[in-house]
Amino acid sequence: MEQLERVVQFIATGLVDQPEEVQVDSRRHGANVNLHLRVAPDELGRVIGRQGRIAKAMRTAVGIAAARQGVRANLEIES
Amino acid sequence: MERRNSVEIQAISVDEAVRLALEQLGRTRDEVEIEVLAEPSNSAGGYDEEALVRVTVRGFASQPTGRPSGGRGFAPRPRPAASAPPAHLSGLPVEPDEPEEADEATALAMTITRDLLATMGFTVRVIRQRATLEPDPEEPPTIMLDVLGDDLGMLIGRRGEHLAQLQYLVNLLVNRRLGQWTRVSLDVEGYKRRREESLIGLAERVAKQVARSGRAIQLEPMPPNERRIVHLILRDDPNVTTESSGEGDLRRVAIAPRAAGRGA
Repeated sequence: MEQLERVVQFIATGLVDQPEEVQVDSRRHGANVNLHLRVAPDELGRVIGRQGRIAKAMRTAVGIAAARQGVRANLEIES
Repeated sequence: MERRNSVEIQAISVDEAVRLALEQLGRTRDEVEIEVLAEPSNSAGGYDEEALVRVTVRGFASQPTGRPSGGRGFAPRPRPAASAPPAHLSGLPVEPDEPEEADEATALAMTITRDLLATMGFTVRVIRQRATLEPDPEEPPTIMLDVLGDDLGMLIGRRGEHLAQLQYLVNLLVNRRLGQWTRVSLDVEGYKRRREESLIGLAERVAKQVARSGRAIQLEPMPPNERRIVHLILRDDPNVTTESSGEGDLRRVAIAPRAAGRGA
Protein backbone atom coordinates (compact mmCIF):
# COMPACT_ATOMS: atom_id res chain seq x y z
CA MET A 1 0.00 0.00 0.00
CA GLU A 2 2.83 2.31 -0.75
CA GLN A 3 0.57 4.63 -2.67
CA LEU A 4 -1.57 5.46 0.35
CA GLU A 5 1.57 6.22 2.30
CA ARG A 6 2.61 8.59 -0.43
CA VAL A 7 -0.67 10.49 -0.14
CA VAL A 8 -0.10 11.03 3.59
CA GLN A 9 3.57 11.82 3.02
CA PHE A 10 2.81 14.38 0.32
CA ILE A 11 0.29 16.24 2.44
CA ALA A 12 2.16 16.05 5.74
CA THR A 13 5.53 17.16 4.37
CA GLY A 14 3.76 20.07 2.69
CA LEU A 15 2.34 21.24 6.00
CA VAL A 16 5.22 21.03 8.45
CA ASP A 17 8.45 22.95 8.96
CA GLN A 18 10.47 19.77 9.51
CA PRO A 19 9.54 17.46 6.66
CA GLU A 20 12.48 15.21 7.54
CA GLU A 21 10.67 14.33 10.76
CA VAL A 22 7.64 13.02 8.86
CA GLN A 23 7.31 9.25 9.02
CA VAL A 24 4.55 7.25 7.45
CA ASP A 25 4.03 3.52 7.62
CA SER A 26 1.14 1.24 6.95
CA ARG A 27 -0.12 -2.24 7.71
CA ARG A 28 -2.66 -4.08 5.72
CA HIS A 29 -5.27 -6.33 7.30
CA GLY A 30 -7.42 -7.79 4.56
CA ALA A 31 -9.25 -4.90 2.96
CA ASN A 32 -8.21 -2.48 5.70
CA VAL A 33 -5.05 -0.42 5.64
CA ASN A 34 -3.92 1.14 8.88
CA LEU A 35 -1.67 4.11 8.30
CA HIS A 36 0.46 5.81 10.93
CA LEU A 37 1.70 9.33 10.53
CA ARG A 38 4.38 10.64 12.84
CA VAL A 39 5.59 14.24 12.85
CA ALA A 40 7.80 16.33 15.14
CA PRO A 41 5.94 16.71 18.45
CA ASP A 42 5.77 20.50 18.21
CA GLU A 43 4.23 20.24 14.74
CA LEU A 44 1.34 17.99 15.58
CA GLY A 45 -1.01 20.93 15.32
CA ARG A 46 0.00 21.49 11.72
CA VAL A 47 -1.30 18.10 10.62
CA ILE A 48 -4.28 17.97 12.97
CA GLY A 49 -5.58 21.51 12.84
CA ARG A 50 -8.18 23.22 14.93
CA GLN A 51 -10.85 20.73 15.92
CA GLY A 52 -9.04 18.16 13.81
CA ARG A 53 -9.99 19.90 10.61
CA ILE A 54 -6.74 19.19 8.78
CA ALA A 55 -6.68 15.57 9.96
CA LYS A 56 -10.22 15.18 8.67
CA ALA A 57 -9.30 16.56 5.25
CA MET A 58 -6.24 14.30 5.12
CA ARG A 59 -8.42 11.30 5.99
CA THR A 60 -10.80 12.25 3.20
CA ALA A 61 -7.94 12.37 0.69
CA VAL A 62 -6.53 9.04 1.86
CA GLY A 63 -10.03 7.56 1.91
CA ILE A 64 -10.62 8.53 -1.70
CA ALA A 65 -7.28 7.07 -2.78
CA ALA A 66 -8.04 3.87 -0.83
CA ALA A 67 -11.51 3.51 -2.31
CA ARG A 68 -9.97 3.75 -5.75
CA GLN A 69 -7.92 0.66 -4.86
CA GLY A 70 -10.84 -1.12 -3.29
CA VAL A 71 -9.53 -0.88 0.27
CA ARG A 72 -10.42 1.10 3.38
CA ALA A 73 -7.91 3.37 5.03
CA ASN A 74 -7.58 4.25 8.66
CA LEU A 75 -5.16 7.04 9.48
CA GLU A 76 -3.69 7.56 12.92
CA ILE A 77 -1.56 10.55 13.78
CA GLU A 78 0.98 10.53 16.56
CA SER A 79 3.93 12.61 17.62
CA MET B 1 -26.19 28.77 -19.73
CA GLU B 2 -23.54 31.12 -20.94
CA ARG B 3 -20.68 29.67 -22.92
CA ARG B 4 -17.22 30.50 -21.81
CA ASN B 5 -15.34 32.83 -24.06
CA SER B 6 -11.83 32.31 -22.84
CA VAL B 7 -9.91 29.47 -21.24
CA GLU B 8 -6.37 28.87 -20.15
CA ILE B 9 -5.17 25.33 -20.55
CA GLN B 10 -2.04 23.57 -19.52
CA ALA B 11 -0.91 20.49 -21.42
CA ILE B 12 2.20 18.67 -22.53
CA SER B 13 2.40 20.53 -25.81
CA VAL B 14 1.03 23.72 -27.29
CA ASP B 15 -0.96 21.77 -29.86
CA GLU B 16 -2.50 19.56 -27.22
CA ALA B 17 -3.40 22.55 -25.05
CA VAL B 18 -5.05 24.28 -28.00
CA ARG B 19 -6.96 21.15 -28.88
CA LEU B 20 -8.28 20.83 -25.32
CA ALA B 21 -9.15 24.52 -25.21
CA LEU B 22 -11.18 24.28 -28.41
CA GLU B 23 -12.96 21.25 -26.99
CA GLN B 24 -13.79 23.22 -23.84
CA LEU B 25 -15.03 26.23 -25.71
CA GLY B 26 -16.83 24.22 -28.36
CA ARG B 27 -15.15 26.32 -31.06
CA THR B 28 -13.02 25.73 -34.09
CA ARG B 29 -9.53 27.04 -34.56
CA ASP B 30 -10.54 29.88 -36.89
CA GLU B 31 -13.02 31.27 -34.36
CA VAL B 32 -10.41 31.98 -31.70
CA GLU B 33 -7.29 33.90 -30.79
CA ILE B 34 -4.51 31.77 -29.36
CA GLU B 35 -1.88 33.11 -26.99
CA VAL B 36 0.98 30.92 -25.92
CA LEU B 37 1.68 31.90 -22.30
CA ALA B 38 4.35 29.29 -21.70
CA GLU B 39 6.25 26.92 -23.93
CA PRO B 40 6.87 23.44 -22.62
CA SER B 41 10.35 22.97 -21.22
CA ASN B 42 12.32 20.90 -18.80
CA SER B 43 12.94 22.82 -15.65
CA ALA B 44 15.52 22.13 -13.01
CA GLY B 45 12.82 21.96 -10.36
CA GLY B 46 12.08 18.34 -11.17
CA TYR B 47 8.74 18.94 -12.84
CA ASP B 48 8.60 19.63 -16.50
CA GLU B 49 6.94 22.87 -17.36
CA GLU B 50 3.93 22.24 -19.48
CA ALA B 51 2.67 24.43 -22.25
CA LEU B 52 0.15 27.03 -21.17
CA VAL B 53 -2.11 28.67 -23.72
CA ARG B 54 -4.94 31.13 -23.48
CA VAL B 55 -7.60 30.68 -26.10
CA THR B 56 -10.14 33.45 -26.50
CA VAL B 57 -13.13 33.52 -28.81
CA ARG B 58 -12.68 36.31 -31.37
CA GLY B 59 -14.58 39.44 -30.38
CA PHE B 60 -14.10 38.77 -26.69
CA ALA B 61 -11.11 40.42 -25.16
CA SER B 62 -8.84 38.15 -23.26
CA GLN B 63 -8.14 38.79 -19.64
CA PRO B 64 -5.40 41.35 -19.17
CA THR B 65 -2.52 40.06 -17.15
CA GLY B 66 -1.73 43.50 -15.75
CA ARG B 67 1.94 42.72 -15.91
CA PRO B 68 4.78 44.53 -17.56
CA SER B 69 6.30 42.70 -20.48
CA GLY B 70 9.57 40.94 -19.99
CA GLY B 71 8.49 39.18 -16.82
CA ARG B 72 9.65 35.65 -16.28
CA GLY B 73 7.52 32.56 -16.18
CA PHE B 74 4.26 32.87 -18.01
CA ALA B 75 5.12 36.01 -19.93
CA PRO B 76 2.44 36.47 -22.55
CA ARG B 77 3.31 36.95 -26.18
CA PRO B 78 2.28 40.29 -27.59
CA ARG B 79 -1.44 40.18 -28.05
CA PRO B 80 -3.12 40.90 -31.34
CA ALA B 81 -4.67 44.37 -31.51
CA ALA B 82 -8.13 42.85 -31.69
CA SER B 83 -7.96 41.79 -28.07
CA ALA B 84 -6.98 45.21 -26.75
CA PRO B 85 -10.34 46.36 -25.28
CA PRO B 86 -11.10 45.29 -21.73
CA ALA B 87 -13.00 42.17 -20.88
CA HIS B 88 -16.34 43.89 -20.24
CA LEU B 89 -17.64 42.41 -23.46
CA SER B 90 -17.61 38.95 -22.01
CA GLY B 91 -19.51 40.16 -18.96
CA LEU B 92 -16.76 38.91 -16.73
CA PRO B 93 -14.89 41.01 -14.25
CA VAL B 94 -11.40 42.08 -15.11
CA GLU B 95 -8.82 40.84 -12.69
CA PRO B 96 -7.29 43.65 -10.71
CA ASP B 97 -3.76 44.55 -11.64
CA GLU B 98 -1.97 42.25 -9.28
CA PRO B 99 1.76 41.94 -9.19
CA GLU B 100 3.57 38.93 -10.49
CA GLU B 101 2.83 36.81 -7.44
CA ALA B 102 -0.64 36.25 -8.81
CA ASP B 103 0.76 34.19 -11.66
CA GLU B 104 3.32 32.36 -9.57
CA ALA B 105 0.62 31.55 -7.06
CA THR B 106 -1.62 30.22 -9.81
CA ALA B 107 1.12 28.06 -11.27
CA LEU B 108 1.94 26.73 -7.81
CA ALA B 109 -1.71 26.02 -7.04
CA MET B 110 -2.04 24.13 -10.33
CA THR B 111 1.06 22.05 -9.66
CA ILE B 112 0.09 21.22 -6.09
CA THR B 113 -3.42 20.23 -7.14
CA ARG B 114 -2.10 18.01 -9.90
CA ASP B 115 0.54 16.40 -7.69
CA LEU B 116 -1.85 15.79 -4.81
CA LEU B 117 -4.37 14.12 -7.09
CA ALA B 118 -1.61 12.15 -8.81
CA THR B 119 -0.50 10.64 -5.51
CA MET B 120 -4.14 9.74 -4.93
CA GLY B 121 -4.18 7.84 -8.22
CA PHE B 122 -5.94 10.38 -10.43
CA THR B 123 -4.46 11.58 -13.68
CA VAL B 124 -5.95 14.99 -14.27
CA ARG B 125 -5.56 18.20 -16.17
CA VAL B 126 -5.85 21.40 -14.18
CA ILE B 127 -7.05 24.53 -15.91
CA ARG B 128 -7.91 28.03 -14.80
CA GLN B 129 -11.55 28.82 -14.40
CA ARG B 130 -13.04 32.27 -14.83
CA ALA B 131 -15.34 33.65 -12.15
CA THR B 132 -19.08 33.75 -12.83
CA LEU B 133 -19.80 36.06 -9.94
CA GLU B 134 -18.40 39.51 -9.34
CA PRO B 135 -15.61 38.97 -6.86
CA ASP B 136 -16.41 40.23 -3.40
CA PRO B 137 -14.35 43.42 -2.99
CA GLU B 138 -13.90 42.64 0.69
CA GLU B 139 -12.17 39.38 -0.04
CA PRO B 140 -8.77 38.69 -1.53
CA PRO B 141 -8.71 37.60 -5.16
CA THR B 142 -9.29 33.89 -5.61
CA ILE B 143 -7.36 31.53 -7.84
CA MET B 144 -10.03 29.50 -9.59
CA LEU B 145 -9.04 26.08 -10.87
CA ASP B 146 -10.98 23.33 -12.58
CA VAL B 147 -9.83 19.71 -12.59
CA LEU B 148 -10.57 17.66 -15.69
CA GLY B 149 -10.25 13.94 -16.25
CA ASP B 150 -12.09 10.64 -16.38
CA ASP B 151 -14.11 9.17 -13.58
CA LEU B 152 -13.62 11.96 -11.07
CA GLY B 153 -16.91 11.57 -9.18
CA MET B 154 -15.05 10.45 -6.06
CA LEU B 155 -13.29 13.81 -5.97
CA ILE B 156 -16.64 15.56 -5.65
CA GLY B 157 -18.43 13.34 -3.14
CA ARG B 158 -21.89 13.77 -1.72
CA ARG B 159 -22.95 17.41 -1.84
CA GLY B 160 -19.41 18.26 -2.87
CA GLU B 161 -18.04 17.29 0.53
CA HIS B 162 -14.90 15.59 -0.83
CA LEU B 163 -14.24 18.51 -3.10
CA ALA B 164 -14.54 20.93 -0.18
CA GLN B 165 -12.01 18.88 1.83
CA LEU B 166 -9.57 18.66 -1.08
CA GLN B 167 -9.91 22.38 -1.68
CA TYR B 168 -9.08 22.98 1.96
CA LEU B 169 -5.94 20.84 1.66
CA VAL B 170 -4.83 22.59 -1.52
CA ASN B 171 -5.32 25.95 0.19
CA LEU B 172 -3.22 24.86 3.15
CA LEU B 173 -0.46 23.44 0.96
CA VAL B 174 -0.35 26.46 -1.34
CA ASN B 175 -0.35 28.95 1.50
CA ARG B 176 2.36 27.10 3.38
CA ARG B 177 4.55 27.33 0.32
CA LEU B 178 3.74 30.92 -0.54
CA GLY B 179 3.85 32.33 2.95
CA GLN B 180 1.07 34.75 2.07
CA TRP B 181 -2.66 34.33 2.12
CA THR B 182 -4.12 33.31 -1.20
CA ARG B 183 -7.44 31.64 -1.77
CA VAL B 184 -7.80 28.76 -4.16
CA SER B 185 -11.17 27.63 -5.40
CA LEU B 186 -11.11 24.08 -6.70
CA ASP B 187 -13.69 22.66 -9.06
CA VAL B 188 -14.00 19.24 -10.67
CA GLU B 189 -15.36 18.99 -14.19
CA GLY B 190 -17.26 22.23 -13.64
CA TYR B 191 -19.37 20.73 -10.84
CA LYS B 192 -19.34 23.84 -8.65
CA ARG B 193 -19.75 26.03 -11.71
CA ARG B 194 -22.94 24.22 -12.68
CA ARG B 195 -24.25 24.28 -9.12
CA GLU B 196 -23.48 27.97 -9.01
CA GLU B 197 -25.38 28.62 -12.20
CA SER B 198 -28.42 26.70 -11.04
CA LEU B 199 -28.28 28.41 -7.64
CA ILE B 200 -28.21 31.82 -9.28
CA GLY B 201 -31.37 30.91 -11.18
CA LEU B 202 -33.00 29.48 -8.07
CA ALA B 203 -32.11 32.48 -5.89
CA GLU B 204 -33.50 34.92 -8.42
CA ARG B 205 -36.73 32.96 -8.95
CA VAL B 206 -37.38 32.54 -5.24
CA ALA B 207 -36.53 36.21 -4.57
CA LYS B 208 -39.16 37.27 -7.09
CA GLN B 209 -41.70 34.97 -5.52
CA VAL B 210 -40.90 36.30 -2.04
CA ALA B 211 -41.16 39.90 -3.25
CA ARG B 212 -44.53 39.16 -4.86
CA SER B 213 -46.07 37.20 -2.00
CA GLY B 214 -44.44 39.05 0.89
CA ARG B 215 -43.77 35.69 2.53
CA ALA B 216 -40.35 34.28 3.41
CA ILE B 217 -39.19 31.04 1.78
CA GLN B 218 -36.61 28.60 3.13
CA LEU B 219 -34.30 26.91 0.66
CA GLU B 220 -33.10 23.34 1.02
CA PRO B 221 -30.08 22.78 3.30
CA MET B 222 -26.85 23.52 1.44
CA PRO B 223 -23.11 23.44 2.11
CA PRO B 224 -21.46 26.74 3.14
CA ASN B 225 -20.09 27.66 -0.27
CA GLU B 226 -23.54 27.33 -1.82
CA ARG B 227 -25.24 29.34 0.90
CA ARG B 228 -22.66 32.00 0.36
CA ILE B 229 -23.55 32.18 -3.32
CA VAL B 230 -27.22 32.77 -2.47
CA HIS B 231 -26.28 35.54 -0.02
CA LEU B 232 -24.00 37.15 -2.62
CA ILE B 233 -26.53 37.02 -5.43
CA LEU B 234 -29.25 38.68 -3.38
CA ARG B 235 -27.02 41.02 -1.41
CA ASP B 236 -28.11 44.05 -3.42
CA ASP B 237 -31.67 42.97 -4.09
CA PRO B 238 -33.90 45.86 -2.96
CA ASN B 239 -36.84 43.57 -2.16
CA VAL B 240 -35.43 40.71 -0.13
CA THR B 241 -32.90 39.82 2.55
CA THR B 242 -31.22 36.47 3.21
CA GLU B 243 -30.33 34.73 6.43
CA SER B 244 -28.95 31.30 7.30
CA SER B 245 -30.25 29.24 10.18
CA GLY B 246 -29.91 25.69 11.48
CA GLU B 247 -26.79 23.73 12.32
CA GLY B 248 -24.33 21.60 10.39
CA ASP B 249 -25.82 19.64 7.52
CA LEU B 250 -29.21 21.21 8.11
CA ARG B 251 -28.12 24.81 7.80
CA ARG B 252 -30.23 26.57 5.19
CA VAL B 253 -30.89 30.00 3.76
CA ALA B 254 -34.20 31.79 4.17
CA ILE B 255 -35.14 34.50 1.70
CA ALA B 256 -37.41 37.07 3.35
CA PRO B 257 -39.06 40.29 2.22
CA ARG B 258 -37.00 43.36 3.08
CA ALA B 259 -38.71 45.65 5.58
CA ALA B 260 -40.59 48.45 3.80
CA GLY B 261 -38.74 51.76 3.41
CA ARG B 262 -35.35 50.11 3.53
CA GLY B 263 -35.04 49.61 -0.19
CA ALA B 264 -31.60 49.94 -1.71
